[in-house]
Amino acid sequence: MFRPLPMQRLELLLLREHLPHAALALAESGAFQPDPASHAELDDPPGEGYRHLFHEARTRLDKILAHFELGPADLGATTEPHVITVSELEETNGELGVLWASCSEWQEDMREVEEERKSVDDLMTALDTFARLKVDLDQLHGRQPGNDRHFLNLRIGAVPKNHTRRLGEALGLAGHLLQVFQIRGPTAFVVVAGLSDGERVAQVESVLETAGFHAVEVPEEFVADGHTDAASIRARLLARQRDADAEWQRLHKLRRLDRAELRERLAGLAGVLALAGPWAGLSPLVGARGGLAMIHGWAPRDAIATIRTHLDARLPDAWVLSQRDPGFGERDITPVIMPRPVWLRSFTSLVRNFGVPRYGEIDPTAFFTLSFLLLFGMMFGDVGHGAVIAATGLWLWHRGGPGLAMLPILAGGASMLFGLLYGSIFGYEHLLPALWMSPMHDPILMMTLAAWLGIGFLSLTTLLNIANRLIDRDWPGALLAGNGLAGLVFYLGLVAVVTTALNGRPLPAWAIALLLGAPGLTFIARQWQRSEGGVGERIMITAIEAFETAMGYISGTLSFLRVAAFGLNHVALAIAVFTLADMLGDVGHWLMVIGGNIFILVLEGAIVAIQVLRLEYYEGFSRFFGGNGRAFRPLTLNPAPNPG
Amino acid sequence: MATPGISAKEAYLATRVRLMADRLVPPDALRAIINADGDTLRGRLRALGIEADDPRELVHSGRLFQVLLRHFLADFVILLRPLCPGGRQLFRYWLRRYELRNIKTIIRGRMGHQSTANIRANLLDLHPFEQVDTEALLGAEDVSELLRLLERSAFAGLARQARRVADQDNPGYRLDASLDREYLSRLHGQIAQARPEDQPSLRELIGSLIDVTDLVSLLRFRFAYQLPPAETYYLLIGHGERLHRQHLLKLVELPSLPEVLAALPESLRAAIGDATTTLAVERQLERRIAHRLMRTYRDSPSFVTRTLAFLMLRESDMHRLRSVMRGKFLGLPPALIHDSINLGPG
Repeated sequence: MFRPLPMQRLELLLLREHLPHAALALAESGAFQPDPASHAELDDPPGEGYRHLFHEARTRLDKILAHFELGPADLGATTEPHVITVSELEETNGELGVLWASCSEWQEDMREVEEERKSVDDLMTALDTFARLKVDLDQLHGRQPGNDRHFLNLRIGAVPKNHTRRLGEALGLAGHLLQVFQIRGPTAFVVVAGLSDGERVAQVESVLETAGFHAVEVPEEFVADGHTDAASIRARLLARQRDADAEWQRLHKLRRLDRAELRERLAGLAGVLALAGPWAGLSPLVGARGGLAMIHGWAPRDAIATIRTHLDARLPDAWVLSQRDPGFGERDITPVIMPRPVWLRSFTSLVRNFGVPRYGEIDPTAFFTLSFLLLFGMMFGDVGHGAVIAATGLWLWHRGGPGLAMLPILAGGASMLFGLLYGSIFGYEHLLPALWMSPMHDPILMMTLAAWLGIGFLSLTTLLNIANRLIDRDWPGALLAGNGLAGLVFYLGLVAVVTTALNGRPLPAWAIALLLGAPGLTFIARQWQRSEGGVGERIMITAIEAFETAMGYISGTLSFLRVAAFGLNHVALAIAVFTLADMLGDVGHWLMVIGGNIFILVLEGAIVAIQVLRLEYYEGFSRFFGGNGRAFRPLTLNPAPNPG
Repeated sequence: MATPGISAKEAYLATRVRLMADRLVPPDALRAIINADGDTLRGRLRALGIEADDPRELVHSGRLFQVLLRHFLADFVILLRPLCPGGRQLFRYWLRRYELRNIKTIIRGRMGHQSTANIRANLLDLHPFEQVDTEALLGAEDVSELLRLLERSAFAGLARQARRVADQDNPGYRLDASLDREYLSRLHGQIAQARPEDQPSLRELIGSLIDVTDLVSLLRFRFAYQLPPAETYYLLIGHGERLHRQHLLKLVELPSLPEVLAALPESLRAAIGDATTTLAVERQLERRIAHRLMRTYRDSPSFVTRTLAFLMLRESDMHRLRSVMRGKFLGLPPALIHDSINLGPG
């Protein structure tokens, strides 16, 4: 539970032509993580074209799946495992290209429809202003007898709002005027007018085109006196809107139909890519020259036999596999698989948020889980609230298995356990006899216990750091550093000095000097020896580091007082809710009690969870857990990753 | 000597940016690189933080600029931290010029039907300052798909502008000009986010860059591409330090390059000297900008403006160094390389 599975470094020798078969076999085993085959003479990596083809096809498939809002799990069907040839991959890529072209066309159509809807929307709101233009548009249209509009170049349309000033000035150079009559969002509706002589009109057209001018048809309904039949214009716009809505509906329906129709075909194509993926992912890491090839990688020791079986099935007697233990210098690159019981797994993702333990390093998950539950329960002890949290976990389990569910189930359980100790159920402190006491009963005791909890927590994390340093064969770091044995002795000495002083039996000066001075001088000397630069700089660095080490222990311990503070806060919030409830009538009372409990459960529950994580990460992990390990990611037939 | 009334963060910023002065590449170092070979060249590059066993390969593969950019971004991160939120926003926006460059490369590549690998090879790695998912953009198979993706990104405004221009018959230079204009206009707008006391000097600095862009664009559009005055004016930015809208309105209507140069404000006319072609004007203005940046870096009362000037000098150094190395390995004569980067004979 505390150490990773033993791994083996593998070296597989085979013929170049067998590489795709080997990739498939290794992926089928699900137990092999490749690494670059670092051999200077094997400088002729194979499969580059295949890889590019796969990447293009994979990108297309991903885009198509996103277009149809499908996930790999929705596709379901799988393809019988076999090696995917270049021609099969080309065919798949071509088919995906055709499918994506039609999806892309759909998206462009949808964009145009949405633009049309927005444009109609803009015009609807602009209509009133448009109708009130004090211009005889009918005359400008040349509809009146004896009037010829050809002398006037008149354009009405929309341009980006930000550019109207510059556009007006530019049009001025071509002898035209620009008048803004409506602004909506980023769009300005404008009238452009000027003398209609050929050269100037061409200039204006060119500027308007560059400015992204969208012409708006002058409604025929404008009449000579400047009034307009707004109702008919609106009717026309509504008709456009209906058309756009209908097109929008049609496109969505089309996509739904395509989705149902294409699902099976996509499953087949995804299956092909899933089988091509291992070789595409492995090929850049393979070392090869001429007809020979070499694959390097890692596998759990227990899975080597499985790998051999799969290789035999695909390539009978055509490979040589050698294995060895990871070297001490390979701790950083050896992938890590942490064996974890089911009840710990939901806490794994929280540990992974911080990092992955290095190969050989102590896995902090068990420590994290137990301390998380202890802190959460102590800060949020309530049988009722804990039961609700645990019930939420059970519901999650029912929906999706134990994966994520164990976290709320166990946290709720811890909350219930401390609720029994505190005698608290939904904030009521008189319904349940406390097995211990309510936090409010003795806040000082709670604070003292929290401080001792912090001392225990920090001591334990320092011990874990010492163990990790010893695993790394870093003896000076384990024994002499501020976060090593010297630091721990200093810290416990400090605790002894303070507690004896608080109890009225202060230690004699020589004992204090011994308890604090000896370990303090040890880690100061260690820091001095590690520091670089001039004497002044080294003195400064050493002094600051020593101060930081001492303050880190003190502030870390005080940081745990929040555990008691939140325990008290929980009771105080409940008292506030009940006080407010008592000021209301019967119905109001119960509404306030229910609402207040929901408030406590959601808000305080979330805050407590965040505070616990803070203590774990900053006061715990940062002291002993580097988190710079490498997670084991084997080659698989899972179509999700795109090795690109 | 400490300047009275400055905050701890400003003092820190001023100190950091002063300490980084040795990251600037002096003209003598560039001259020495032009004349160096073998181990001497490797040593000179090492002194600039560039480890290269084979400098020729570094240049030909295009990785040199990426290496320089890595160093530049590392300094950028350090200088970004002590800035106020408005200053940080301005600097981040300024840095978008590289992402804009990537976007232009992808758009051009897609328009020219280049392979994805080819386009990717020309992109700059801007981690951690990317605002768009470059891989997703590279996965786009045509310009319309690309623009759809951009319209859902931090570059939505620029993408809309690009779509309008891309739909036209001859989008080439209009696209570049539109995107640059949009970017510089917005950069100028970002100055308002900075602290009031920093704004005048920032406006001067960014305005002087806009002057160069506007004047060179004006000459190119009017006399090389033969655009009419109205469209030329529309494609300009118009927030310059010396070239205001009213100047530009007059200049675009002038019928010849000498007349435009003669009608420039006095300070710009003096800077241009006896240049008579667009290229020569551009070179003279670049020289003027380089002096201006150095002066701002040394003397500006605003530490934020000093810092921005420093970053612009670093950027200019990156381009000069790349040009020197390219010219060197192409076998160009040293005098021509000197000339191409405005480097005096020494």
